[in-house]
Amino acid sequence: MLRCKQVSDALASGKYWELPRRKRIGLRMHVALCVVCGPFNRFIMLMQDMTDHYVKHEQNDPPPPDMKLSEEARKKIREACRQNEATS
Amino acid sequence: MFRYAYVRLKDHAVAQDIVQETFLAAMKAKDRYQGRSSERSWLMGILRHKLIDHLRKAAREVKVDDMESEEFVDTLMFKEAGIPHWRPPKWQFNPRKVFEQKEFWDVFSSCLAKLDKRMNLAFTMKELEDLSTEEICQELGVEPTYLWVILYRARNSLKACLEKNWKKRNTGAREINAAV
Repeated sequence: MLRCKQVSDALASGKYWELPRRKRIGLRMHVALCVVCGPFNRFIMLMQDMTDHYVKHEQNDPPPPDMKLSEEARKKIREACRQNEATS
Repeated sequence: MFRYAYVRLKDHAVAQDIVQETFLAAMKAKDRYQGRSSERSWLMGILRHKLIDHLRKAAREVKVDDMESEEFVDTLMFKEAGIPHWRPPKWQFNPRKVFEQKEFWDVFSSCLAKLDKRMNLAFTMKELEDLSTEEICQELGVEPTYLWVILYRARNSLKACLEKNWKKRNTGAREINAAV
C-alpha cells in the first residue's frame, strides 16, 4: 500500500498519467480513499488535467482578442524580417 | 505564437520580441526545414526554445529566497508528509464540466498571465513546458520542497482567479440574457 508521502512525491515529480499503469491504479485508489492527503492530491490531479486541456486548447483554438498581436507589432516584425533578408 | 509567449512571459513587449526573434531565426534556418512537420510546428519548436532560454534567464534574476513563515511551515510539511498544512478549499463550480467550453480557457489563459512572477515562472516551467524538477530548482536556486510550495500556491491563486472571473463572466452573460 502506498503512503501519502509516496503519492505526493509521485504527483510532484510528474503528471499522474505518465506514471506506469500499476503505480497509477494504486495512486488513484489511495487518493480517492485517503482522508489525509486525498483532498490535496485530488486538487493536484485536477489541476494537472486542467493544464493539459489548456495546452490542447492553446494548440487548436484561436487566441482571444486581447492575446493577439497588434497590427502595429505585426508590421514591426514584417519590417525586421525584410531588413534581415536584405542584409543576408 | 504571441499568446503562447505572452501567457508564459506575462510581458507584451518581451513576448513580441520573442515572436520576432523566432521569425528571424526561422529565416536563417529555412534551408534546414525539411518539411517533416508542418511549418507551424516547426516555428512553435523554435519559439519554445527561445522561450525556455528566456525563462531560464528570468529564473536566475527572480528573488525567491524571501520565504514567508507560512511557506516555511509548508516546506517542512512537504518534506515530512508530502502535504501542505492547509487543505485546498472546495471549488465553487465543477471545473470538469466546463472543460469543453472555449470561454473557460480564455479565462484560464488570462488568469495564468496574472500569476505573480515567481509563481508564473515555476508553474510555466513545470506544468506548461514540462521541465524537470531538478532543472527548475537549479534555475530558481530553491530546494524541491520549496518548489512544491510555490507550485501549490500558484495552483491556488489560479483557482481563486478562475472562480472569481468565471463567476463574473457567467453572471454578466446571465444579465445580458435576462435583458434580451
